[in-house]
This record gives sequence, structure tokens and C-alpha cells, in this order.
Amino acid sequence: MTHTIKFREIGSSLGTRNLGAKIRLSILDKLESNERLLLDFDQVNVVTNSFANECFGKLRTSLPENEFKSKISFINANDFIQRVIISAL
Amino acid sequence: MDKPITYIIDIKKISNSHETIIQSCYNLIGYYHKNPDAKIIIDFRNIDFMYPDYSILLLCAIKHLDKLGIKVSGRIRYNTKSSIVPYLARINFFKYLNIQIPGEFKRLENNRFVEIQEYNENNQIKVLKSILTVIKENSLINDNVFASLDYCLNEILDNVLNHSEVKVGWVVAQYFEKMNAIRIMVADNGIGIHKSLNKRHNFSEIDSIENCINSGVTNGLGQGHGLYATSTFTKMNKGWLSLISGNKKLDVSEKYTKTNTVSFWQGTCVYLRVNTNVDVDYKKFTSNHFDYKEQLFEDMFK
Repeated sequence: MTHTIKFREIGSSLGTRNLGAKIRLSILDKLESNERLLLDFDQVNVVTNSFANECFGKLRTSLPENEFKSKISFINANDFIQRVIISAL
Repeated sequence: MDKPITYIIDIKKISNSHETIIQSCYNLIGYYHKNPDAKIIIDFRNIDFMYPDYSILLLCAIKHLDKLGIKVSGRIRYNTKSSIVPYLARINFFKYLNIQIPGEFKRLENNRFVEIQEYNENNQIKVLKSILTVIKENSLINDNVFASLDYCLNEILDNVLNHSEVKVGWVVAQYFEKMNAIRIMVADNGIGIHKSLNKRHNFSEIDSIENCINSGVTNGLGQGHGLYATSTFTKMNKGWLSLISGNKKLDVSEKYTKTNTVSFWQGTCVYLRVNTNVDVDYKKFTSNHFDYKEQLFEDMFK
């Protein structure tokens, strides 16, 4: 099964380290019961380095490389967000 | 019976610069340490306006005394026809000091300011959103500047809660239409930049404030990116960034970066002046190692 996490339901600006940590745990939880996860950034304007590092950077290091790349996709991320997330990975 | 000792703050005299406000706050705190029962008089006569980033520093200094168990009480002097008191009432300056001002000061429908707000972990996102909403609704801010401000302000607010060892910070912001500029001040009464960075480094006070804007300089709890991004953004935007902590003040602009010695501030203040109409290239501070990492991870983006 594929599950989608809609980040716009969390906020249009994702900035705090604490929030990043909470969402990382939520993603790990969803990965246990789903084959794939879509991380949807539609209507999200900005993600900060702190958030991205805490959420996606630490997620990457907590999963085997293959699993991280095959199970997770980022969708509808604007250029700003793509750059921040890729830099944090 | 002895008459209570009175300490007078003349707002007109101290409202010249951040340095003069900081000096006045330092003098006030020193005075109250020696005379905890003193009464304060804040004199708002002969002045019609005070920048919100000045007023929040005075508020923070009084809150600092409060935290130390020193209750500051007294009165204010003002001209009833002056606009400064209604303005400060609208930005909640008096509310946080528990000062009752006679009369009602109605909010303007199109507020160009964000009231002084105390924020913590629980309301941080809401406070940031309120600032960004006011800026977006009242200015013709360039999209790249808005995204960059969103990014940097997030990092600055988060720095206070993650590195200052206090649970609360203070923030105020105002858009000045004629100058196409936004002035923002974030202040705290925490451990300051020097103590924070020296959990990992061995900097002198001046080294700590000069290095904190360099990429990767951190106390170990973060990545040392927030102030680096903010200073990079400020230079591109032709704006202004001041960091005040302990006895040092660092000013960053397009033309220069310089450090001065100032009166002691018990924590950290971050002042940001942003030009709403000067475009910036956010790639300069969002894209560390992006070029080689893009090849590794681009397939994950659909």
C-alpha cells in the first residue's frame, strides 16, 4: 500500500527542529505498515534546514539506503524546498 | 518614613539607537540590583514614536528583573495628545508590563505591525504565521524575499528555544511602507551566544559573535546554519542584521561586517531589517552540497 503524508495539513512553513523530529517518528511509524510513502508538499512554501535535517536527514541515516530510496518519494516540492531537503540528506 | 528612590527613564533620550537602548537597559538592571525597592518612572513626553525593536528591549530588561525576583513598579508620564502611548498600547508594550492606560486604543484594520509576542515551543508556529501573514497582507514583498524571510525567521525563533536555555523568547515586527522595509527584533534573556557556542568551542566573546554567522559553527545541538543563512540573505537583500549578546554587537550589511563593544545584554537580540523590494537568490543559502547530492537523490522527487 502507498500512504501519502500531506504536509500542508501541518503547515505552510515547516521550521522547527521539534516538529521535524515528531514527523520523522510519524514517517517511521507509517513505513512499518506501508510499502511506499509519498511526502506531499503541495501548498507548502518553505522548509528550513533545521526541520529538514531533523526530519529527513536523520530519517536517511536511520534507514538502509535502498529502503530509504525505494520507499520514499517527495512530491510537489517547490525548488526552494527541494534544495533544502536534498542539502539535508 | 523614607521616600522611595525613583529611577527615571527618559524615552526620548534613549531612543537613538539599539546601543543607547541597551545601555539604558543595562543601567536599569544595575540600578535595581542595588535598589530593588526603587520606583520607576518611564517618561514618554517629548517623543511621538519609538521603534518597536527598541520598546521590546526595554520590556525584556524589565522582564529579566522580574525573573530575578525584582518586581519593578512605578508609573509613566506622557502627553495625552502624543501618539506614542496609543501606539505602544496597540503593540502590547503596556499589557506585558501590567500598566493600565486610560482610554481605548482600537486596532487598525490594516495593521502593519505585529504586536510584541512572547513565544515558546507551544505557540512558536502560530507566532511565526502571524508575522508572515501581516507582512504578506500589507506589503508588496518580493516572493523570493518572503520565502527567505520565512526561512530565516523560522531559524532565528528556533535558535532561541534550542540554544538559549530559556523556554521563552520575545518578538516584534513592523512593516514600514514608505521605506519598503520590515524591522524585526527577536530577543531573549538566555545564556547568550558566547556561553552557548563554548559548549563546543573555546572562543573569546568577540570570536564567538564573529564566528556565529559562519556556516557550520554550532554548539553541537544544531548545524550552524540559521545565522549563516540569515547573514547571507541580509547581504543580498541590502538589509541589516545586528546580533547583540553579552558585551558585543555584530552588524552585518552588504558593505561590511563589524563588531562593537556595547553595554551588557543578558541574552541575545537579533535585529533584522529586510527590504521588501530587493530580490535575493535563495540558492546561495539553501543549497549546501546541493550539486553533488542532487545526482544522488533527484530520483526521489516527482
